[in-house]
Amino acid sequence: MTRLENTVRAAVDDLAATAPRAHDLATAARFQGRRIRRRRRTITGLAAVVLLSAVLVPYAVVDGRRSAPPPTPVAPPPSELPPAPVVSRQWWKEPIRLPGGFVVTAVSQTLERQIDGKTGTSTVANGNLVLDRATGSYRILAPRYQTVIGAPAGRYALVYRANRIGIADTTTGEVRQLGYGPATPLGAQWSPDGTKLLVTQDRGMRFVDPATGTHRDVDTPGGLKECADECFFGWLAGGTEISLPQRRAGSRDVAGIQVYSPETGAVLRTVPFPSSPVSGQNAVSPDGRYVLVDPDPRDRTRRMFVEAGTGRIAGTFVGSGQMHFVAADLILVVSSAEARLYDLSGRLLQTTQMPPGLAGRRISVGRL
Amino acid sequence: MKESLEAEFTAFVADRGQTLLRIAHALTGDRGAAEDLVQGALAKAYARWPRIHSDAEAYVRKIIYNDRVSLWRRIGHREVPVAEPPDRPHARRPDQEVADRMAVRAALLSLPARQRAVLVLRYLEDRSVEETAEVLGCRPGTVASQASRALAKLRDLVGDADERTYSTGGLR
Repeated sequence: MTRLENTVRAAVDDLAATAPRAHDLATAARFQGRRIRRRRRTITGLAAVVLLSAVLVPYAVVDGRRSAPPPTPVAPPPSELPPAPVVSRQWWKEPIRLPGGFVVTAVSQTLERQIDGKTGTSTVANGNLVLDRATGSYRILAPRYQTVIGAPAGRYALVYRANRIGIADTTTGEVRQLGYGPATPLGAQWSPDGTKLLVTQDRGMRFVDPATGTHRDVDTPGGLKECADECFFGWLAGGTEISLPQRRAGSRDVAGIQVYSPETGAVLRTVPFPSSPVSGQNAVSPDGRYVLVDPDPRDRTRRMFVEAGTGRIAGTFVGSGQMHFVAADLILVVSSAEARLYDLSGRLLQTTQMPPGLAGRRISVGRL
Repeated sequence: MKESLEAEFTAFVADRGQTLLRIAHALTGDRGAAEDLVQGALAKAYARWPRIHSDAEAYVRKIIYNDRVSLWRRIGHREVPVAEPPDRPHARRPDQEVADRMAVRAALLSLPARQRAVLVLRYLEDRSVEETAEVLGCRPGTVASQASRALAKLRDLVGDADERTYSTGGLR
């Protein structure tokens, strides 16, 4: 072996020796792995789902077989809604307005940049974007963050990379890195008013003040032990209570949610939910009456909304996209192609096409 | 997935995660990219765990190498030019070996992903040409030519100590 080869061997060893320490790889891999399995199963059954949907209704239905009588729609008819927003060509210069009064608050960079973020310059077409509500324009953040999640209100956004979180000030673009984080971005959730970040920790809840970066831990001994597969704390309406899905003893099936006090960590009550609440923002209706849940983790094209107080199924939505309650009786379904507004009976009220530059990217929405 | 398989997966990651990160870091030279690479490979392994658990490490390693190479190809990377070639050492100093290693390390990161993968398999994992070919899914002849090209490029960039003439220094 030549001296060059020996030097190559030593240099490769050096590179390997400076690898980061393994940090909760199993949890993150398990989460991603389940998504891969679900996607595979969904693709397998896609043809059947498409056929079924075509026969039943154009997009959304209320499933009468499994649910209580559907809630009486009180949403205004489409003619009484403000016109559906139309996104301008230079969309990054003003808030992207969506039906229901929501706007796009953040857009994560493209998959290619998530994996190899040092290539080329970040642009609005490929980079991490956050809405600066003060100026009404989108700011580009550094490509080192895998995911950006805008708060539903206020001036902050969550940035996520390699199981660590940071808080971005959307008015300056500055990021405060926090030395911890959940195994997946879904383990961190903004409060409805954007003033607190709830992080699922091994021992319980962590409440982060985005303005100062300080946090307050509230342990919930036992709560995480019987947690369901998607084991994340989530805000309930008004940001005054916290939910955590629980499974049946000795089973993987969801038994219900435990409702916690964010102040003391005490269990306030247990409600028999049919499945886990959707992990993400705006999963609870503003009046606190309904919660969006995942009826079948293997099928991401269906969501149910259940009564928060009883867990009773109130309706089922069929279709792909992130679902958000934008009003007590309105649900916004957001994909990177379009945003559709429905009432709770499944009636499509409005549609807004997303800008073409957002295809395939993760989108956060909220109030202006 | 059965609880016993879940436990087996957790134990596998706890046992082999750091080794896999070492390989990924040697391939990428970037801590975040290394974590992403390993996490992605472990996720794919988890999704197929009941089928692959008996030979999990080989499966995960293969994914790590191939994901790195295919991503490089998919997003249109070509060889990354080194703006300023590492300084060629002119004199042998007591810290010359360290300097060589630093220069080679920088030059390694400028190689195309496939060539770097070959060097990592050959020099970090001590795999034979045939084993390297098996992991990368190519012919042994391709491995040999890639390794040869990679070493030639490194020699161009940093020089080969065997051929170096030492003009000064007391170690002569």
